[in-house]
Amino acid sequence: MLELINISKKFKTDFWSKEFTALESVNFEIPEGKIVGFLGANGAGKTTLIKIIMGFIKPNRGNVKFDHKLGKNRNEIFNNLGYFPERPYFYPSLTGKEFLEFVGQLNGMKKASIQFKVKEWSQRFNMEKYLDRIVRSYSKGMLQRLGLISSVLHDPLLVILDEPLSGLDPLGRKEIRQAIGQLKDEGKTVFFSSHIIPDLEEVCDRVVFMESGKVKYSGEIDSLLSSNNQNFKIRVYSDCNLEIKSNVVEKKRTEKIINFEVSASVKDAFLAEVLSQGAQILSVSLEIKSLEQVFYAKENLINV
Amino acid sequence: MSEVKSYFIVLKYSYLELIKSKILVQMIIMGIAFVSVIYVATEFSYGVPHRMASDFGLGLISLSCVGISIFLGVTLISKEMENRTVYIVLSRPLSRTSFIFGKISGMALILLCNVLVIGSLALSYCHLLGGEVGKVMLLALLFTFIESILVLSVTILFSLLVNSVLAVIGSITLFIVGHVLTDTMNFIELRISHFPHLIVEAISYLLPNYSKINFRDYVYYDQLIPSSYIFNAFIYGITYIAFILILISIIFRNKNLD
Repeated sequence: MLELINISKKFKTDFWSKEFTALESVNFEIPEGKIVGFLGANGAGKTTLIKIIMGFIKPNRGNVKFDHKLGKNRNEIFNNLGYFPERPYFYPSLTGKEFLEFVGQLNGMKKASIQFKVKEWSQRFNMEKYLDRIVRSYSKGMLQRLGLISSVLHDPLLVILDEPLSGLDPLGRKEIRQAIGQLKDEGKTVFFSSHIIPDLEEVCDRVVFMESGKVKYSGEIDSLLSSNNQNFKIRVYSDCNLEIKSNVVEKKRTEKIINFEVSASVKDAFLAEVLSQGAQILSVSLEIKSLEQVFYAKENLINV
Repeated sequence: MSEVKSYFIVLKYSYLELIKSKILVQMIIMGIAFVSVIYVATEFSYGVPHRMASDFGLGLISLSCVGISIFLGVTLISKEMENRTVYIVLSRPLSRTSFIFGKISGMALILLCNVLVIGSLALSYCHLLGGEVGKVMLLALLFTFIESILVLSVTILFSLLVNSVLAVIGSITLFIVGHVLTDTMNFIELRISHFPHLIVEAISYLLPNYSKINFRDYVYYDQLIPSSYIFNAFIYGITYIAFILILISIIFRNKNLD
């Protein structure tokens, strides 16, 4: 759906200062029909990259390639693209309904179609009763919901969301995550950025991890989790001292119960060793690392 | 969706946003306040209160229009960029040119409302005092509107290049300079030698000459205006506005919105 080819961007904060590199040789693609999470700490370059995709700023090098399904020219592509900026702000004196009519009309939608879609999406997000209020009176959560509705109102093929879950309460975050999942079920491609890993893990198929302007990982989440060492936790009961030759890590020992951390490759050999010495296996459980744990141990990132 | 259609949609909602921000109410209050000022001024006149009313009225209309053009115009685009509303709009299938022209036109409609609202109040009061609302007065109103559009365009051009404070200072400076340009040129002709005079003349062609589109003096001094002069002033105003708008479009199209 979208491919970024060798994007680099440098900035200067003022005339006298040195340039700093915001993005360096960023390459990845967003496949059709997937939810791709864009992960990185604050200042990693996520918003800068999204602005380059949307054409708000120009890269120093590289380009953005949109799939032909989105369109041949800028207007066609942007008619099939939905965008939600970070910390959105809307025209404060317009009502939510007026604002949605405005953006819907800009996308060439007919009035009846706008009304139908506004009703559909506002019901999904429990926003229906707030649409006649002016935007100035909206809470942070309402603004996020309004922004999300505006980004999907025209039924785009590709939806780009910049920190859509930021500032929301847990219920609001759940609603937005569900909505993102529903977009995928409708065949849309979603690319959204966040610095909160559990949110991404719950809905995304793929993840792009960025740090200091560089892509550290881009690929399937399942592959990333399975390619990192998955260890077993084995609890053993023994009346006597065990002589273990396998390369395992003893985690905790009480009087006769020992907890081991054993890698998948030596698990079978270790179990055989323990059983041959007359010990009892109390439990064997697979320790599945979360995405958060994998990213915190960044040296374990393997690009697929 | 054609660019023209997008332009009109942006115009409509920019105008709606400005109207709903209660600017029209503020205009009416300002108009009533101006009429009160005119009333006080006429009390100091001797025998010609309607002349005072028309002179003050036209002056206050010009001041209010220029004030709106500068102080609202300076934040017209910069506020959109600060608040990131520009991202939401420009992520739609419309060009930056349609967007910025739509915003400017929305503001221009507000200026027209200002001229009509305050103009109606001031001139109605003038008529009440026995004055005649003639062709010259209506021309003065029209060219006040054109002057305010020119000030608005210059302000927006500045706001795209420098920060808001500098843009306001620049616009006010150019407004003052633009009004004294013709008189300064006449004065300089008598005082300085040929070459510096040429430089000053070149600069005078570059800067907006507001005195060329100021018809209030003709009302004040009750003078007849040749049709050719009216036509030339109109062409000058419209051409200069078009030139500034083209510059604005080129700058905004290439601006990094970060």
